[in-house]
Amino acid sequence: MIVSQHWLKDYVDIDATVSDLADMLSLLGLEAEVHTEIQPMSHVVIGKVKSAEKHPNADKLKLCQVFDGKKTHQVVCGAPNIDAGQTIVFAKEGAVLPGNFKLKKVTIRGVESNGMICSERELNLSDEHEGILVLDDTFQAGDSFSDVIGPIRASIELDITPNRPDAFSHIGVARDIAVKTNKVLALPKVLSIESDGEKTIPITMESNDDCPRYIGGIMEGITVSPSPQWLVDRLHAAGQRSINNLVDISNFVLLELGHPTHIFDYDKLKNKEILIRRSKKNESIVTLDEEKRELSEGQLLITDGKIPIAIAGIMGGLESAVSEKTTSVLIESAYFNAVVIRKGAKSLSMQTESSKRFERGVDPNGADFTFWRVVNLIQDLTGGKLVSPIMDIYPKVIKGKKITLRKSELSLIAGCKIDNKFVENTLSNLGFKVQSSENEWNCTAPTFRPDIEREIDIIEEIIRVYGYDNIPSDNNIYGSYRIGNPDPETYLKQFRKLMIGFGYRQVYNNSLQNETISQMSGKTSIPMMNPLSTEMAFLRTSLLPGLIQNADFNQKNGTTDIRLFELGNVHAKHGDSLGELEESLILSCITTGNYISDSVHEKALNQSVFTLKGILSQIIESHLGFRLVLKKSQTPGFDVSWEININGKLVGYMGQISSSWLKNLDTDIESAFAFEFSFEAWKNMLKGKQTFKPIQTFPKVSRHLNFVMEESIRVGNVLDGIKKKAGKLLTNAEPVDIFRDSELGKDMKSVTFFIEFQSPSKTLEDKDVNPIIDEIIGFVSQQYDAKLRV
Amino acid sequence: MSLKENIDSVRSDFLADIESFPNDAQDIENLRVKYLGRKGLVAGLFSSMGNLSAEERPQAGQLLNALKNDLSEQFQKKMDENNSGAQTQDPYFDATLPGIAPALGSMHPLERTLQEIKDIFISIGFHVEYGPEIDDDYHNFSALNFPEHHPARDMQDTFFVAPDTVLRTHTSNVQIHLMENEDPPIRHIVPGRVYRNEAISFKSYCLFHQVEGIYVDKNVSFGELKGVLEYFVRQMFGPKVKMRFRPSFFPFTEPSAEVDIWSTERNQWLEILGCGMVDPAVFDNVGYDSSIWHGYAFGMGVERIAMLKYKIDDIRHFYQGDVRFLRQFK
Repeated sequence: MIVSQHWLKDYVDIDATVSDLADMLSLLGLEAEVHTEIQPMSHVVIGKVKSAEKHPNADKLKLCQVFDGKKTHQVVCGAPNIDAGQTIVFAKEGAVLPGNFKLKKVTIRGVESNGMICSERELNLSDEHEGILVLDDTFQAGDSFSDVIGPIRASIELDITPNRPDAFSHIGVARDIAVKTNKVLALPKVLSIESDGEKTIPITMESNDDCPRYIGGIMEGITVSPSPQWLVDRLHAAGQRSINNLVDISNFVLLELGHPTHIFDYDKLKNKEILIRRSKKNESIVTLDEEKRELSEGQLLITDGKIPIAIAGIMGGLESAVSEKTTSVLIESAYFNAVVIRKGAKSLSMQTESSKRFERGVDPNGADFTFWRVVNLIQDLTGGKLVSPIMDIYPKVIKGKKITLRKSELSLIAGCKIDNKFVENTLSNLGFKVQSSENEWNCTAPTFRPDIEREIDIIEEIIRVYGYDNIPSDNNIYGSYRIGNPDPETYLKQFRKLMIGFGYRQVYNNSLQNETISQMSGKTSIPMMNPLSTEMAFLRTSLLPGLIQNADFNQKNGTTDIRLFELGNVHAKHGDSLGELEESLILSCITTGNYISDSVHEKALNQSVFTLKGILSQIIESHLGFRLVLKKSQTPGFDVSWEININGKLVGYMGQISSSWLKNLDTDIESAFAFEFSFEAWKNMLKGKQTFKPIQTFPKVSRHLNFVMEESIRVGNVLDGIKKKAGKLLTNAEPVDIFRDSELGKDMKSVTFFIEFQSPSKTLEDKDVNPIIDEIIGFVSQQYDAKLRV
Repeated sequence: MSLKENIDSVRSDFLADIESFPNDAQDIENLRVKYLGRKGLVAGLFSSMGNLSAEERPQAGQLLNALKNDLSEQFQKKMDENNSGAQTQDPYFDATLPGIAPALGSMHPLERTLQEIKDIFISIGFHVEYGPEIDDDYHNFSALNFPEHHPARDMQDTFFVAPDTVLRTHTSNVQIHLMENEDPPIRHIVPGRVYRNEAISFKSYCLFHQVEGIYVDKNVSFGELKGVLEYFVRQMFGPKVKMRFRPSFFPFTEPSAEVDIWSTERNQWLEILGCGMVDPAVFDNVGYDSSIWHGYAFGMGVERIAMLKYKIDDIRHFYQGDVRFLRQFK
């Protein structure tokens, strides 16, 4: 909401500048930003248009004589609304307008022009630039624009939180200022009029819960005309346009008191009756904005007893709307149930100045004050007369809540003692009734603060006015220790560190994907009921598609050797209930390009399933000391893939990303490798204790064994056999060379294994190792039809 | 010549020979063999001891051993010097060639910022708790004192998975789970991914990461909340940062506040976190007696903290996976 500083001054003395005022409001809990602040401008003054004649050489231009208080200047002006007699803003030669626009003497179509008549946009007041800004004639020619207009147009934009319905008005904001600065709040003077008119209209409510109060009044003899300048200025400063005096009054009162009212054209009511009821099946109404609204059942309506004439608290109907020709009106000042209005506005997807206020809660006991304010203004500005008594239907008066505030609780929550006098003053200035006793205050909350229901709500009021910055900070740590690892996800740190150590960069990807991508993994993804777009309508089931897209993005931007990983949650749907929506933490990585780049030292080595297998082995086997088994698998997303088994538990997959995925994700990547595993099945093993094993000091004995075998024999299988046969003394066994040669024969290879032994208790001798070696040779020769090569 | 004279002669020849120590391995070996080999000059002198009398032998043995040790030592010293300089002595050795560099990884700036935030709170006694990203309306809203038909619900645009199931809009749902499962006192922070149904732009994304904290004990004051957050902000942004507490509204805290820090660069206050005293209604919902227990809670966006800390101007950078962005964070 935009509040005008000038307007606020009607109700409270304000000494502060507009930016200081904004700061003060922010620190009171009304988040404020300066909306309009006119900086001092020299050579920009109030001017009077003495004459405006047609330009001799241009149809659309006018040649004007502008009086600046001392001198008259000849100015060429192209604005369509320029006219003789107007009071305008005149930028003289030498003025510098916002945007560093310097005014100089110019010649336009052969005629000299000395200065400019300004539009709102040229003065940085608004975006309005259709015509020049025309001011009230009361302004004196020659006065500085920034001095006289600045204060009138200075305004602040407030972001009102849902707990402050009262602050949705100038009065509410002024009240906070008055409380904070210890000034008096002056409410506008309102006269309730004893009407001698006898007109009435029957008013009935179907439900008193929906509409606890409804006030109506009929006025006649109205002349609709343009609003006076003060009213136009008020609305302008608050960011609204002036329409005519009648409409402006309703808008003005809404912004002033925060209580929405509605004005019906009385003559247009076909049936002279008001019935407030819920909508029935298949009802509709054309609203003021000329939209036809199909009403769902149960929408709260104002009807004329037959057809809807307004959607209660949200928007009036077009048919009964006031117009330039209106002479008699029905004024409505009501109080509707906040939840009913909110539900109604939601179901219609409408939000209006009126609905915003009703759904937060307006003051039921302010409806009559508001009514009289409207009646008084209509009387003053349009010549209208009240021809009915005030028709106030309010069967059950809503009273302010009684709340007890303990002095001890206030001190406990604040953490400091707040002076009793301050508390009592603050509360009573905020509109509370307060009775003090030794240990507590008995308070009655004002009905314009429906948010205040409990002791804590009052404590907040006191502390916010006291000023959060005035509460001393307590820098002590209190409380008790808690045993245990403070972070249950500490175990993840090692994975991040290792991946980063292996040259991988961590990414965070969007969890929301389109349906196709989210289901690529073969799992069922969870859809959003109200997605942002179809591209972000499902939760991801795998981290791989995101990583593939990252790799492609980087490749397209010139990085060819890519190593990326992500540690994040994925979701899968196993059913409709919350318990069947699975969330799991996954580590995935992708790599493409070179593992080692070509250099003066080394030849390039491509990334491959082996570079990834090496990383997995380092993490799972060397670092964690777990058993890693990779089993060939058929997994979506991979052309060649293996299951990752850790200590016998299937945790994920690794392999070469399938070419169809690379194609379907629209990438330029030729080949990429990835693994993905989850932690759920084995994370408890990661929290296990680590114990030291004694360092072995006896010398190691090693042998190289060279076998010739058929190409079809898998080296890994032979190695597993060697390890089994080697027994407990084995410390290491690995293939170190594979050699192919025509001498070996077709489809044959020679594989050299390095085998190393060590005893924890003695120096090994040949006689200890030789029998084992013999057994290995025997086993490999027999099992794999391999020949020992000497 | 006496043995002593022979010893001196061998030593001076040796010193002369090693003065210009050869580069070639074979020449070095030849030099070693000449003096220290099995048939070398020193060995020759040992064998000449046979000509000496029994009385002379012990002394001669001592002298010869000293010679042998001396020569071996000096030879070894030369060898070492020679070896250590082996590569630099190659006239064509080119040390200007680039090194053999291992690949360099990097931690995501959000991860790094989150670790920093965790470390700061753990240092003052907080534990860390985690919880689900998909939750029921009750844990994400109702239990946190968001009435069903209240404008407070508009404060967070929510993704619905089912009419009663949401992608959490904050990690406060975990505070509810935590309090349902544990008796007070508690002192925890809750990091995690949260979702908002907001149009994507340079300043907002459909998801972000949050760290929320909650402390519940018998006597907890707003003054303590101020103290703890001042500690956090100064640890995070430096001891001199100017900050302020500003009244605000969150359904689950009362009184509520926003914390702003002053940006000298932008010459304005920047909002960095929200906080407040836990609303008694929340305690009632989880079965804590609100007449006994008090508490404070706070919440911040990791993205926002990281953007301020590293002066990142567009939130979308975090989710792009762009190496040119990632490599800037170590």
